Amino acid sequence: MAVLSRETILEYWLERVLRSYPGQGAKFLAGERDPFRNPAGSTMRQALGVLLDELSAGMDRERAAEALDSIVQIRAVQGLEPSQALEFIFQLKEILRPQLDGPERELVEGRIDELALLAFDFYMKYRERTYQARTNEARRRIFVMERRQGAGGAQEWQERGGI
Amino acid sequence: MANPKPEELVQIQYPTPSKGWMDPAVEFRKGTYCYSALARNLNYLGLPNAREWQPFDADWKLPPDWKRIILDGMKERLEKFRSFRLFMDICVRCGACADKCHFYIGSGDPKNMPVVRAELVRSVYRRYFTLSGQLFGALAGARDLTEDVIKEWFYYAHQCTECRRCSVFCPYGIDTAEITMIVRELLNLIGCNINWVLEPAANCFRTGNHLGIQPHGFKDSVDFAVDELEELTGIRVDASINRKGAEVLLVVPSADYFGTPHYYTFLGYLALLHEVGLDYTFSAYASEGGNFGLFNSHEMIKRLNAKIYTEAKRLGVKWILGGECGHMWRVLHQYMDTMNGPADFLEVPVSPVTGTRFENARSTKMVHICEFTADLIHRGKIRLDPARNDRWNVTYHDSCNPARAMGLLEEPRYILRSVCNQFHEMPENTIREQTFCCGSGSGLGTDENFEMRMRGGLPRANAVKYVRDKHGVNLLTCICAIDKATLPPLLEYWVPGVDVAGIHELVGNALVMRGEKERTTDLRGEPIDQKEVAHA
Ligand code: SF4
Ligand code: SF4
Repeated sequence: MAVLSRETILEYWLERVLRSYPGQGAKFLAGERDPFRNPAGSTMRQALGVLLDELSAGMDRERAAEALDSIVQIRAVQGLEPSQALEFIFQLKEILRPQLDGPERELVEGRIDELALLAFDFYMKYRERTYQARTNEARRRIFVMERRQGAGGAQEWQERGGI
Repeated sequence: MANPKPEELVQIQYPTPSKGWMDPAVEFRKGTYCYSALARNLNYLGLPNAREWQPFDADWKLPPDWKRIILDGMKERLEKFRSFRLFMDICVRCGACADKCHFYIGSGDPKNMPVVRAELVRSVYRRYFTLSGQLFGALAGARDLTEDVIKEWFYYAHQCTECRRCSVFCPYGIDTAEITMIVRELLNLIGCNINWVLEPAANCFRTGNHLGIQPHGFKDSVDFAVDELEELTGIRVDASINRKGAEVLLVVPSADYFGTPHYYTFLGYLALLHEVGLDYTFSAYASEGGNFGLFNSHEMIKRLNAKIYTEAKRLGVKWILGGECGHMWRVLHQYMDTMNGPADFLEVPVSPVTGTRFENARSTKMVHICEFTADLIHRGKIRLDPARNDRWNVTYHDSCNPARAMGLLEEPRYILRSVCNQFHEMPENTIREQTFCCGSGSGLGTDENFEMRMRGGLPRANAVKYVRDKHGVNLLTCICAIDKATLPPLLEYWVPGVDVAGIHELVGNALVMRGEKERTTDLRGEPIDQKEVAHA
């Protein structure tokens, strides 16, 4: 008993997701369609669309995972608590609930839960990636000294307050 | 949920901010600010209000008369810098700049719109320096100067990388980067500064470079590079330090001889300058081209920059050659001559290899190494084998300062096209004058600020991702030391599989040197014939 069109649901979903961004920010993120002028907004719009399609149709898991991944990559470095960062998946349930019933609702909600679990994995992957990137960055800074003096050099450098 | 009418669909209301921009309260969230400067660094530089504090503390321990200091400081700068007064007065709030800042694009925070960033100061200017502001207060867009405003200034002046992208789009040429510079300068008067800027500045003042490397350490690094280059090419180059009577003084950012991937670019310079027989020397005192004074105050720029001409004079060189660095060139190009010139003891630079007279450097006497190299290639003075860079599929990031502050757009591209076979540009609205910042410039490339940097760097990374996916690009080249340090983690996060290199690294790879041994590896020590494909 779907009453809302895909486009409408997508707009609602996007609006809910972007609510976590302050003021005019949300408007820009939702409005500007050029992917180079607005990478965060256009990635989210595109990826939410893919998720919606996959949830309501055949559920190509690979395609859905890729879309989910691209959203979580952005949300993982936006100063949000993990629960806020991943909230967007559950928001779809609220939007879809009045639209579906019976076994169809169960099916879609089951799939949403499945995506939510996957989202935790992605979130952790990206948080870990930030730690890795930070460590690598620190080492690159003292690359020549490490090479010249062996691993001990780095330690000494930091004790001296070098950057 | 009721079924909305079609016209309602296109008008989904995005929530208006719970509080307007005039409310100065900010929350210092982890990952989005830089730590305060250590007292020892302030003391070393003779800066006021050295103390222990952090941005997240409730009490910033400002001096008792902080308000007077700031207002006097504003008054002085409004009189001294005509541009500052102009920028305070003429903005018509047309909004053309609003969505051009990478921090706004990546974070969605309205106070990161350049127009609002400037308005944070303008509102105080109105309140204390204009009649309408004094009479009508908030109605005229004026705000009182409070401690919260100081915190807000600190927060947002350190979420602007002074990249000047917004100014390209402003019909009045308002340069928000300069407003940020003034705000940081004002904050500096009451001791609100960040360590990542002041530590390099203090080190630079003490030993001549950001890292605090002493002359013997500098020499060790250069010698080490000479040895490594010999292993790679079979040729021993002469890289002298403090040699009086050399024709040219070579000044490079210290990261070139300390960090990676900078180091390979350094090897590239050494190989190239040897091959063309340039009579040059380094200086241990001017062993840093970078100038973090630019991110602190005009006074500090001048203090740190002075050593370059001083050394040129002491060593008796004819002109100066500068390596790959961004903000270093902003200072050299836009401030050095006025602040520490005229360098009338130097000559207008002439390339001894080609005879080209660098008229563009007539006044500063300092030539960018990309200008020097492009000229060599143009006149056919070096032999190049671009196939040695075949494992790389290259794109070029216009570093903000060389692109927007000195218009160095063609030379790097000309060189790249000569030294490698695969080159693809990123989309037009993300390169040249419109280039997107790495998100970590102007002293914001700190570890604690990592998340903010990832947000600010998203527009840049996104364009790289596009060429990676479309053309298989696996190398992002640039000519800025900060970029070389901060783009690798940016890409590691957003676009794995794309590496970062300086242009002269690729020059060094392609350069066929007289008498070299058979080159089996590139400057990174990687086999030359191995083709690498970006793993998407
Ligand atoms: S583009 Fe210029 S005039 Fe327009 S709002 Fe921005 S700073 Fe003001
Ligand atoms: S100078 Fe760059 S970082 Fe600063 S407001 Fe303008 S676009 Fe943003």
